[in-house]
Amino acid sequence: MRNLILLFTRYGHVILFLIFQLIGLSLIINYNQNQKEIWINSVNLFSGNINKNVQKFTNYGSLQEKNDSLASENALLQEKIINFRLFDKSYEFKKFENDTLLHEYKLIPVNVCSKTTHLRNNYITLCSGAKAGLRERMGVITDDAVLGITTLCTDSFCKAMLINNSLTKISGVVKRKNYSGKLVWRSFDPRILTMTSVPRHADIELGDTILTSGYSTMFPYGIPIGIITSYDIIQGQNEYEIEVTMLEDPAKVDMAYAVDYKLSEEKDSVITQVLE
Amino acid sequence: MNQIVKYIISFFLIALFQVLILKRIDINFNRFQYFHLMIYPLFLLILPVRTPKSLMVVIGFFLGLFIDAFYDSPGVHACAATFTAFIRSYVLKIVEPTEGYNTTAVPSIRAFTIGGFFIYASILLLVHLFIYFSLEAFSFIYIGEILLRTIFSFIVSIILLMLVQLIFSRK
Repeated sequence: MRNLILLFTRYGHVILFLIFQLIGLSLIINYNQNQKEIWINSVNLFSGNINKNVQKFTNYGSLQEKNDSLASENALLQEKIINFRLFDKSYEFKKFENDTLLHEYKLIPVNVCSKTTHLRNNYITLCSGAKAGLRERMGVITDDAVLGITTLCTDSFCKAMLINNSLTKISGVVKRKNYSGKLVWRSFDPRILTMTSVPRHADIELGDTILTSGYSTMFPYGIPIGIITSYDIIQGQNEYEIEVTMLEDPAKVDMAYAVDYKLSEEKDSVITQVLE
Repeated sequence: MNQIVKYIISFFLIALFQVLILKRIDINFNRFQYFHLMIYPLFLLILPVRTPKSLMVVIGFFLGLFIDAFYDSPGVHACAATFTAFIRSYVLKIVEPTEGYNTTAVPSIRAFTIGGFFIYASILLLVHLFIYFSLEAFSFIYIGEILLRTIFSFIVSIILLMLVQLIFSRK
């Protein structure tokens, strides 16, 4: 105790100085736009680099497994294409395949550098950034599920909010019935989403698949999100509250695709005008 | 008591002089924007030599915060001024005369001679400006810009600072 007091009398000014310097820096970072952006970008770059290197090592372990899943996925795609070619008698598909101008969506493969899944607002960091063509507000999907939306991109890293983020809202439709609704994450289970705004008269069943609606610019139509595991009508309201279980556990994902929609700017401008 | 009132008045005089007059003076030629008049650290310079070091740091922080309120840059001046206040005791040691300071010494041209005060003020003002412009840019990518601003602002500021000190040390 005596030593502690002695310490304060001798170095009190140093301690005070450090405290005030910290207060000052936090003021600078929080309330000055330029400095705030530089800070966020530098921190993102710093943590991104570390995570990238850690990820490099941890990736080796699961290389074989990943290889297998990629191979089977390729086989599946190849199978679909071949069958579709045979099925398509008028050579429409061949025409489409050859004309790249018709392709509105482009997928950019990205590695996941780091992620959190246990917080209320979860984010992932992608190991590619603006250089690879990523932008803010792009959808991130995996082979068969929706993962999140990018929020901040630097030259070589990108931050995306996961679907397990209380700020994320995704519009979805019930497969084959086309009732649309809004998907948010409210539960504590990372795999369970809540779908609202589905009208009461809608005819839904347990086990129905929920797909992305393609209404926004971030996701194309028809990416599976999850299946209905329970539903309920909120008392006094005219809509369902549906519990949707996701097909893929976001905690396991380490490869994803960012969706680049060619007409996103055009569509965005129309959507925002309608809203205004 | 009298002393404290005197310092409180000079705090507001110097700070208001900075934010109401010097902030508006623009001596930049079209693309050459490196001159910024900064003399408010003068208040930190003229506090008595025996001011407790902790009190110095506190005063520096609040002086900077006061300036920040008018410059719309929360924290930038506060950080720089805190730093300047913190290193003042070390700079005082550098310019300390061989016989030491007496207990009531106040840094001024009369007490330090004009050369001594110039060195003392230059070191602190240079450090202050460098810290300030670094925090303003917030990235050492702009190191060239920071140094140019520091040097040119230092030249105009130190002249003004010495003039102010000369005028007020007469009486």
